[in-house]
Amino acid sequence: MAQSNVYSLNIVGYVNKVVPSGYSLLANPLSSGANNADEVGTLVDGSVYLTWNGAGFDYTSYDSGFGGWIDAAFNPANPPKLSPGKGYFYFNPGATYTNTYVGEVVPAPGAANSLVLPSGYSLVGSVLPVSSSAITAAPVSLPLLDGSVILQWNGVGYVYTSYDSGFGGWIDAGFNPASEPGYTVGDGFFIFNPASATPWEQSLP
Amino acid sequence: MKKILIAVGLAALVSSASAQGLINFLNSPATLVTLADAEGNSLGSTPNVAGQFYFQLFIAPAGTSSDAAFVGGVLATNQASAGRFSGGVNVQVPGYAAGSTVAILVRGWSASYGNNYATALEAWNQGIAGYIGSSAIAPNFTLGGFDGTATLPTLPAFGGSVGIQGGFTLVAPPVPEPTSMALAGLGAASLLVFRRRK
Repeated sequence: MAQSNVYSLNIVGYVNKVVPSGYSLLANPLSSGANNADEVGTLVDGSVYLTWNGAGFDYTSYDSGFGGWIDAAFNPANPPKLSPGKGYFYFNPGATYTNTYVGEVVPAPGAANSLVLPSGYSLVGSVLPVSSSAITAAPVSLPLLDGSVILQWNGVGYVYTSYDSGFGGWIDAGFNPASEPGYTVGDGFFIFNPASATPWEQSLP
Repeated sequence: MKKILIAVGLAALVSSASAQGLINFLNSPATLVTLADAEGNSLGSTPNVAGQFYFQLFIAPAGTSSDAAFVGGVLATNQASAGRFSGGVNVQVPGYAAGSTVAILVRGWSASYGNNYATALEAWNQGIAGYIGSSAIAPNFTLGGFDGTATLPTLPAFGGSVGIQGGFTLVAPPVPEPTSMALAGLGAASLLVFRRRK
């Protein structure tokens, strides 16, 4: 009797990301499976992860002095889940280093991504591990939403850019014309969606 | 009059837009607090028995480098982990808005001196047993919180690019030198002789 072989087609790779001392706004660009923080990158003692819950940050720290993963009250906690598409602040207490993300590219060939951008602020990153000089252009393909705000982190504070057709397109915080923001693989950013939930769809280039 | 009212209204709007600045007032595994005897010999990290030491956050305008210019703020105690202390995460820094830059330093001392730094320093200077010490200054520390536009992440007081670099040491009070002890003894003896002659 003939047996049919079942093949799973996927792309595996790695992404190197420079992580400076202090806070970085990151997003895991590859799926490592469970995508818990302890398998997504180098585990640094004293590091802090801030994930967005829709209204504020949830605090988790890896601290060997208190037995490993802890919450803001020093109680034991689970490592945060950092699936591709989810942005997070990461505090590096030491010197700059390069983190290597290893895992599968999402989506698999022939499939597509659809990340929901809820109404209001959300902290996200590109599910597909790509960069672009214009965040709404392929392959990043963030949907162009009138009245939306994008906040990117420059190491000290947020860089504010908004798309507002009433002011001619992309503007800065002072309503001056601005360039469309770019996107670098592994970066996280805040997006304010002024409308109802909208999908961010991507496919392999 | 109308203009004044509008100005007052706007000022209220602006002040309510920016929330109080926040700090994570704790140290890390790489920035431990240690003890030293009067000669400066290390005695290792503060013991893992909570509540034996107080730590206080001191604040000054950004760029301040003089210890004397700092004003005391929130208190913390050491934790049940050697060399560690915590006063909490997302602790408010009164008088400074989220996103503002300040200079910070941390002072620590034995809880047996009480919870006031000035009193503790006085006791230490009198040679009463205990420990006291101060961290390095972080001259340009950015406070977290809602800055009117978005929520800035709250930085830990120690580490990173703008936090206090390295741990610090609490030192025992200086032991009176043998010569001064001898002089004091001599003084007491001569007083006795003087009394007997009288």
